[in-house]
Amino acid sequence: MSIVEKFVSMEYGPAPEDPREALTWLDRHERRFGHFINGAWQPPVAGGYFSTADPSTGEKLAAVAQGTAADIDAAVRAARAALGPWQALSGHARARHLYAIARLVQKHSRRLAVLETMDNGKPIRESRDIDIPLVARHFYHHAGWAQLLEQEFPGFVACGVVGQIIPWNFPLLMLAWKIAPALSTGNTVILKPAEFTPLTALAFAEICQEINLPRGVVNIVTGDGSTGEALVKHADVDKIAFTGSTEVGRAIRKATAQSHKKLSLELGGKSPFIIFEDSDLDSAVEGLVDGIWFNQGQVCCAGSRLLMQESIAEKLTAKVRDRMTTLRIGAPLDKAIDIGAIVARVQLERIERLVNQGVAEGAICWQPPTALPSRGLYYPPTLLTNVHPTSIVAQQEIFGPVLAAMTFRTPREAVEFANNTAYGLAASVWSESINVALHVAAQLKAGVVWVNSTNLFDASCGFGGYRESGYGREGGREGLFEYLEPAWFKHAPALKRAARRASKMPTPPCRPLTGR
Amino acid sequence: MKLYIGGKQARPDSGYSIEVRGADGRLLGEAPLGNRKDIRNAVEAARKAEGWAKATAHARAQVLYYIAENLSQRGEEIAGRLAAAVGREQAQAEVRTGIERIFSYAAWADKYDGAVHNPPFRNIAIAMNEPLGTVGIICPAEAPLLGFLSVMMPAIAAGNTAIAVPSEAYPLITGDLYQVFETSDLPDGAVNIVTGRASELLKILAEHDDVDAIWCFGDEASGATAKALSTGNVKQVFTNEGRAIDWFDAKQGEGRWFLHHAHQVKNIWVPYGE
Repeated sequence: MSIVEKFVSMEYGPAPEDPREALTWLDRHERRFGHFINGAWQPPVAGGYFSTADPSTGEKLAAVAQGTAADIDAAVRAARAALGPWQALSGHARARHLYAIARLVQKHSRRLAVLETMDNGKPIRESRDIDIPLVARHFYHHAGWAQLLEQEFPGFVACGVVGQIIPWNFPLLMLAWKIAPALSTGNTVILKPAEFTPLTALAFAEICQEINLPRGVVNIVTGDGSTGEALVKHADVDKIAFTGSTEVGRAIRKATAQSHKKLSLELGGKSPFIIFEDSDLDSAVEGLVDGIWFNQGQVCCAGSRLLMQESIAEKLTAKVRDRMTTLRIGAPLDKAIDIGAIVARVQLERIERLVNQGVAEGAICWQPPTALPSRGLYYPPTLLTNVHPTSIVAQQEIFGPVLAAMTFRTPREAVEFANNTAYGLAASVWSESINVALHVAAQLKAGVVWVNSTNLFDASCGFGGYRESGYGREGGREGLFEYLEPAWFKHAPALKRAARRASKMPTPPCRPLTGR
Repeated sequence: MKLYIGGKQARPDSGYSIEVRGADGRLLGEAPLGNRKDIRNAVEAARKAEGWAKATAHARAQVLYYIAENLSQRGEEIAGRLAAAVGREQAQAEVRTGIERIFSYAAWADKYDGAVHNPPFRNIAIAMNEPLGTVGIICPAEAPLLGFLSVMMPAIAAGNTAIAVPSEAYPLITGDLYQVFETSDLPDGAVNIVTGRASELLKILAEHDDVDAIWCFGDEASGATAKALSTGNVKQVFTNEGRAIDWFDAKQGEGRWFLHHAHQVKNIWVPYGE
């Protein structure tokens, strides 16, 4: 093929990232991992092992331990024992540990990126250029907070032993969002990675060993939902931080109601992506690609509801369809791939089910004629038009590469539609008019609003939701409050006086109101 | 005493009242027995008053200063009535500290600013401190006036609207505040007060899907109830975890900790720079 022909066809040859370093690392561990408790690898007490696989091939990558209440208990005891000495360190000493973690994340960034892509199925371009650099950024930023803690948060102390449960969509990044602020404020942690994607958390455990992080400060217990439940219910945990579905978030709130565990929840979303008629449409389309097809749409803040101003709807959907036909779907380790594999069969089936239901409710489904790989778990990028605002695909989180498009007429209607959801995690607003964009941004019920941009994250900016998308923030100054308490409050005595008075007080009689 | 809903004094739906007695058993008065319907009306009124969030911070500060001024003018009289329930000394301290507390949150109203972040992109992120919306508040029992002010003032300084269940031990004192609110330019419905059995009203508020957050200051059991029943619309829950808070101590009874719970951060990313 001549150069000219190549320019016309724009075909890429295969460009796989070298997986050897990650595979060597897996082999070095004999492809079998225990829990990381008290600074050492521990075999599971009773749960045995389960396997984690590459969703793009179905090949087993390694066996990991299934955590049970006994493993969780051992991890909590290690974290409790480590708490005193960890807090006795100066802020500067803790800052050095966090800084060392950040450095090693950068040093091992290729191995971590490849491992992430193999375990999760996300394109290597994303894990290499977004996930892992943000992980390092998060630890650098929070090394700074450890250094400044006493100056910036006088009178506040750490919660103590923290249980953290993270999802499978950004495995190592979610770990960083949880562990970095917890350690910088002087907490010790037990982290349970997602069942489908435990490998980078285990690689992180090795980094903790490598930098001589004091034993027990970070403990990693792998397993499924039952492992998470054991962590949530453990009596000696002071705080639970959870990222995942709203349904599980509710269950965790109920399960911790009788305790004094502090709780932060980062839950689901159905985020609007609003495009006004005066937008730079080509930029908006590129934004949309990032908004809904980033990480196969398996993103809690994915811009899954496209709200287009009516006047440009036809032109815009044509552009979107054109762009969709050029998205490259295939082996996630290929550096030229846009859309990788869906994390697990159960997730793929959920996407299929919801799309079918949406179509049954009247949506028109369009998918590009791109061939899917013959093996592995893939779902094509999907555009649903003619979507009614009450349709299941407009209301429920799909967590897949599926965009539900609707139209609006006025800015006011855009805000109404955008806020017509139980969620409130993120929103994206596109307009070349600063007045329109900021007028709308102010009215959106969402924890993050991106103007003429989408899916931007930084350690200095708190991320978290309004409404049923949860509470608490991760990142920034506001995120640290989730891991701190006023010192006086932590040691405040029980409210005795009022309780005694209340119990002595006879139930007051009721009687009909008289007069007036 | 009546309920205070949407800026109007209202008779309770039940038509019943509860006797309120002092520590010595003397009958001090009667408070309305609020129920589910009263809470529903109060939540509706609070939702309607959400324009309060859009008032300028300066305007909110001004209203809080007016509340302090008007309370101050009636301070002697209110302390006198409160004395029957908590003794003369505490009553005077509650009024004195209460006025200070309102001043404190009037001061904060236009100073609890957000931030501008400089992320490593061609953007700035404007971190706005926004109110939660409508907050249901179970007020502390132990300091009927000061406790009410200590939780209500940060909530409304932030721009929230609220439904408060005042101290079960002596709810009557909040009745004295209706006139204070009415003469202070506080919009109707920004503050609503429903008296009754706190444990029952707590459940109704916690289960109400149009309430955005629950603040519950009471014993351990009520905190647990607030958390367990708040899951329908995933309310933010702020409680004292059954611990004692010394409302007379400014270090414990006011400040950033309360303001943090009265706000949620919205980060608006805007293209900026070259």
